Amino acid sequence: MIDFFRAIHEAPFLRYALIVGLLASVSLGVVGSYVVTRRITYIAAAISHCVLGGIGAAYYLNVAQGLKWCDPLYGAMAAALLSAVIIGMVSLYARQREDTVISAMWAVGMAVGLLFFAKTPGYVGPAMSYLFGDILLISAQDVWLVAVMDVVVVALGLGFYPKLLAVCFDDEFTELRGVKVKLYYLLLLCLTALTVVLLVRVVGIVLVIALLTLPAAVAGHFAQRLWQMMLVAVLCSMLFVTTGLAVSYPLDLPSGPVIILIAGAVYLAVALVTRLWRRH
Amino acid sequence: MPNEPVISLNDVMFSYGGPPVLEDVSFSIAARQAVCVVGPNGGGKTTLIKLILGLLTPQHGEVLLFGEPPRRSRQRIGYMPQHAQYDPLFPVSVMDIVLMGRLGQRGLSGLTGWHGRADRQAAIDALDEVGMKDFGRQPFAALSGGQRQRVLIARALCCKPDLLLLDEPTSNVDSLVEARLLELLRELNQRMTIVMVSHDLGFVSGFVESVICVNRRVVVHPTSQVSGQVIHDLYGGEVRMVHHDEFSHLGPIHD
Repeated sequence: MIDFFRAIHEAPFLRYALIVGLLASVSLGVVGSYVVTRRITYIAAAISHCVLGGIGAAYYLNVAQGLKWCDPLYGAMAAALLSAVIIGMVSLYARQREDTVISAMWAVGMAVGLLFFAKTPGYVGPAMSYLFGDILLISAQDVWLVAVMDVVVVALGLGFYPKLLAVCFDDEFTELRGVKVKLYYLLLLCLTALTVVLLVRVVGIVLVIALLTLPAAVAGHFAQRLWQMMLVAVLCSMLFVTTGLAVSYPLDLPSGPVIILIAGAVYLAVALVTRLWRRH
Repeated sequence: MPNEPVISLNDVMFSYGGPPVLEDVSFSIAARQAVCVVGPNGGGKTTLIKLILGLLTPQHGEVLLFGEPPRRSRQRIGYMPQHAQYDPLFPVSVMDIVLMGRLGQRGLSGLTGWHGRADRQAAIDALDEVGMKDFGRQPFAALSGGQRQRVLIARALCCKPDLLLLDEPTSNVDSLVEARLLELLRELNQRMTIVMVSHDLGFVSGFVESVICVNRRVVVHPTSQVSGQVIHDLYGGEVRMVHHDEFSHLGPIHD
C-alpha cells in the first residue's frame, strides 16, 4: 500500500488514472442508480459498445488522415450521444423486437469501429486499449476533459432528480402529470452515454457496464431512498477503483479487469451475506 | 359549463393492429357520479382507461375529458394504477411517491421537479386524508398491500383532481381494508367524480350509481338494474355476488 502511494507520487499516469477514476465514480453512482432502478442495464450496455464505432472513426481520422485535433475521446462522445438517442428512440417506439434491434445496433457499432481500426496503419493495440482500458494512455488533457464532463453529468443528473426519480419509478403516472417523459428518458440515456465515455481510458467500453451497475446494485441492498443509493454507490465505486489500481499496479496486471473483478466479488459477497442474514 | 359531462365517448373504436378491442363505444359520465368498470380479463377495461387518460388514441370516434381532448385536460385526473406493477425493491419513500402528484407545474420548480413547502403540505394533507400521515418516511417496500393502495390514492389526491380514476383498488387486499377503502371513496365522492375498475361487483354495489360493462362493446347499467342475467351475459358464466354490508358499521378510515 505504501508502494502504491509512492507510485502515485512518481508515476503521472497512475495519478491521472486515480483522479479520473474518482471523478468518474460520482457520475457512475448517480447515473448507475437510475439505470439499475429503471432496469435498463441492457440498453446501457448497447450504448457503451456502440461507442467503439465513434472511437474507431476518430482514431482513423486522427492517425490515417492526419486530423490531429480529432481526439478519439471526441469520437467516443459523439458516438455515445448519437447511439443513446437512436437506441432510446428504438426502445420507445419499436413495439416488437426491441431487443433484436438493440442487439443488432450493439454489434454494428462495434463492427464499424473495428473496420476503422483495421484501415488505420500501425499496430492494432489501440483497439484493445479502448475495449478493455489502458491507464498508460491517460494524459493530463484527458483528466481535464473528464472533469468537465463529470460536472455536466452530475449537475444534470442531480438537478432533475425529482423528475428522473418519477420517470424511473412510474413513467405512466409521470406522463399524466404533463411531464415530457420521453425527453427525460432520452436525457437519462445521454447521461449514461457520457458516463461510459468518462471511463473509456480506465476500464474500457466492454467492462464499463459492470462498473456502472455493480456499485448501484451493492448500494441497493442498503438504501431505502434513491439518493441514499447514489451516495453508497459513489463510495463503492471509489473504493473499487482505488483498490483495483492499488492491487494491479505492483502485480503488473491490467487495471480494468482487476477493478471489475473486485466489484464483482464485493457484489457477490454482499448478495450472499444479506441473503443469509435475512434467513436468520 | 357546470353540466358538461366529465367523460364522454362517442362511437369509439380501438385496436392494437388486429381485431378491434373496443367498438361502438358511446357513453358519458356526469360530474360527481361514482361508476364502476367491470368485465372479463381481456375484455378491454385497461384499454378503455388508457383511452380516457389519453395514453392511447382511438382509430375512430372521439374521447372527451372535461369537454377537451384528454391530452389537454388529463392533469385534472388523479390516477391510481394497480400497485402490483411496481418494482418491490425500488428505493423510494412514501413521501417521495406522494410528491410525484405535484409534478408538472409551471415555472422553474416545475422544470426540475423540485418541490417547495406548499407541495410538501399538500402531500401531508393527502396522506392524512387516507389515514397514512405517520408513514411519510417509511420505504414503500415495507408497506402491506392495503397500505400501498392508500399511498397511491394519496398520490392521486395530491394532484387536486376533479376526477379520480382507480384501477383495481381492491386487488390483493382483505375485506376489512376493502370496507375502509369504500368508506374513503364515499367521502371523496362528495367533491369529485370517481371511476374505478373492479373485479368485485359486490364491493361497489352499494356505492356506485352505474356500472360500465366492458367486453369489446360497452353497456352502461344503473346499479339497481344489474341483475344476475346481466352478469351472466357479460362474463358468460355464473358469478357469485357477495354483498359487503356487514362491514358498514366499521366507521371511517381515520382512527
